[in-house]
Amino acid sequence: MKYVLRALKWATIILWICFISLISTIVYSAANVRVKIEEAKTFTEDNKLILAIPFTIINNGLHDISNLNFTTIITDEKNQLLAKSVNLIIIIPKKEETTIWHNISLNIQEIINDQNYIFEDSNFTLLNNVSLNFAGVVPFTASNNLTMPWGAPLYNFTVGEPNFQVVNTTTSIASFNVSFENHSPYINLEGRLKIEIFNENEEPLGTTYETINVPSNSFYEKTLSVYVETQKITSSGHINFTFETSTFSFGPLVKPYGSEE
Amino acid sequence: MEVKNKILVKSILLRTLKAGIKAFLIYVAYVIFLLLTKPIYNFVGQYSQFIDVFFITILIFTFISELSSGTIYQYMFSFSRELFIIFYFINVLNGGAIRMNVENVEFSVNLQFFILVLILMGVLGMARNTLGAINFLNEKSEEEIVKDYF
Repeated sequence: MKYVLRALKWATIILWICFISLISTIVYSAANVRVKIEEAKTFTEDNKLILAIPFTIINNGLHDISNLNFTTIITDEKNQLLAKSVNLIIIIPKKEETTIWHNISLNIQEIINDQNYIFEDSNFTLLNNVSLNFAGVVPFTASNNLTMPWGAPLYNFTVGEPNFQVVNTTTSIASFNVSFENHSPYINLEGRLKIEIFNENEEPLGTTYETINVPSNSFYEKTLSVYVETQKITSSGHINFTFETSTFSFGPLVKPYGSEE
Repeated sequence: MEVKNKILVKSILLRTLKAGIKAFLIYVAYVIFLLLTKPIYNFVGQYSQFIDVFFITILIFTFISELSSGTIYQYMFSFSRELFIIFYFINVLNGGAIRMNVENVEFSVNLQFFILVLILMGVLGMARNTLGAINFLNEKSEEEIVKDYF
């Protein structure tokens, strides 16, 4: 019995020493992991707004970090998924560092297709989740919710009543004010605006193209002029606006004039 | 009779000294733990009360069981200490799943592996104490038989 007791005593002591050593090294290692987040880069590509965030993880600890998973989910106010980005690193060995680019790709064209988001400001929800397995025995997760403001690129889009000025018997000039605010912090409106005027019989009166360059968080106001056929002018009709920019295409946006509803 | 008393006093003093040394070692372990966890105090800070209670209880149990060594109470206290470790950790660590919120970031750590190891070590300790108590009673009865015989 004495030998058994002695063996059990030593087994317990050894197990406790191993256990305390493991906890100590894990705590020490966790305290020595450094995460550097460098400046994020934003650029557009194929109608997509890409937010690229470089992360550098320096594992100065005594244990490996495994199954490191970065997930970012962007949802709108209706809780619809707008973007999802996942980065998975199988292992970051001890005393090594790893840099990853976490790219969040937001399809501007899809968002713009929802007319609310082109004319109305909103708030998107950005859910970040990081999970990893430390030393192979400690699964760890960190997550947070952020509000991402969405600014409407054509906020308060207003078209004034057209004023027709007769140039000669066949041609007139239709002039009207167009104004809007680009509230988007991400999108610079660079491209062209196609303007088509129709009379009440749906006959085209004239078309023109206007080059636009409206940086983010700026105001646009201009009196636009379109040459139209004098004979076809009616007291009412509608003006169609089509935006073709580097980040998205939108239109035609129909704005009635005169008494047309 | 005087010699017997002297031996008894000496034995009590020796046991108290041994218990004191063991308690001091536990205190040193506590200080080392605090130093090690200083960089992540934000993370473990809210558990500081539980950590303090744990170390104080272990210290008291160790002191008492060491003081009562050579009696059946030693095994009783040691057994209780192991049982306390198991239930205390299961309760405090919420079964191994810890969640906390620091500056709008929710952290969750799964410590089930540690709970499992602690339970195993606790069970091992309890088995050792039970066997120790059986052995102690056995030796005691043997001594009495021998005493009666002579």
